Amino acid sequence: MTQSLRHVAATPVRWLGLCLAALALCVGPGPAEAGSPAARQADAQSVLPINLPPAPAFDGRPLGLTDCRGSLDYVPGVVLAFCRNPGQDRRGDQGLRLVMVQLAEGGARLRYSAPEGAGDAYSARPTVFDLSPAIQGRLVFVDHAAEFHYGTQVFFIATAGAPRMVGRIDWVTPDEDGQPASPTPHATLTVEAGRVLIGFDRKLFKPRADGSAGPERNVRFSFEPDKHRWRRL
Amino acid sequence: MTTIYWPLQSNVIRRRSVNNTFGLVRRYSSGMPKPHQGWDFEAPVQTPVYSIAAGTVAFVRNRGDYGLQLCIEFDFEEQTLYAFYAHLFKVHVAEGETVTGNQLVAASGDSGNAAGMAVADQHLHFEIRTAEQPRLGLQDRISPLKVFGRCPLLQPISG
Repeated sequence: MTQSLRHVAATPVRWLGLCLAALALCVGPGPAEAGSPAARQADAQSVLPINLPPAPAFDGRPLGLTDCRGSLDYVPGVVLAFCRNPGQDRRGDQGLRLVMVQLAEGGARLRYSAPEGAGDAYSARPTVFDLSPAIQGRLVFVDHAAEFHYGTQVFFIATAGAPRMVGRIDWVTPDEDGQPASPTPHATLTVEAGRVLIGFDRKLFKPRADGSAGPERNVRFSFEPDKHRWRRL
Repeated sequence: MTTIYWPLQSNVIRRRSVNNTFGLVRRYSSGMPKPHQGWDFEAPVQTPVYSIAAGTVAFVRNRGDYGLQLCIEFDFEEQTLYAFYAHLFKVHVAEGETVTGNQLVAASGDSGNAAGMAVADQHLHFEIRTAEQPRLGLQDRISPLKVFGRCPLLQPISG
């Protein structure tokens, strides 16, 4: 079939679609329907993690950063990494922290260094969730560990903005040996009515001070990007 | 009486820091103490690793935050204990195999969540367990000090 014939054949279908759309706009959902659970469910947008390419050439030393690792090309010309920042620490917390660096020909510029490190943790693993199109920004879960999971820091990065630490998840899940592991692989994120709902596909527990397990719970959080408010539901 | 050997040719705690010894020695960023279940010995990747006593290989497995792991069951002062080695690069023995004390059994590595560490932080994570599958935290683990008699915190000890 030629291009013109295809166009002619598709035209009635397009008109039908336009008519249905116009009808939907005129009728719309009733007041009771708009806020119904079914309507909210239909509006909910599932969020999956995205992969960012590594930035192996990144060197934080000219910026006074040490022990950098896990650097990622966040967007062109901007790198996320995990470094120690001795110039920033005031409380002796030399732990690894999230940094954002703007790369430029005249020299790199440190745009952000997280307000707290991760204590003695020696690894930092980010998981990035792109919230668009519903919300212009990304949530970054950073899992810290040394032998075992230490906890998860949560950052929000508005489009073209710098990160902001908005919350933390101090809950863990047992791995196949029963040891504490990150809950991030089990997180389910949805965007609904302008906020992000974070749940998990299993119950979580909080380790006690001696490392033993506290009671298991169904844990859910919400994040409101406009207020930068993170809270447990 | 069981003869105990050191797991490496040169044994010293990583960064000579008490944070890398056994007990409630680590800190969350909040300052709350966190347990460390064993000793971290300084060990660049592919450092030879030895059995600390004659015994039997309880398991070899590769999973989770510990990465490639080796566990050797042995007797010590009329008690059955388990020498547990983690983040390994390679294991030279198999489950069920009998090992002699000071036998070359593995090469240290950076598997599990130790991947990508600076050379100064590459290490052998070593535990003494009282159960093959310990519970959480410090449960079912004892300080390696009880087996070795001394801790190489500041000065290396030759194995």
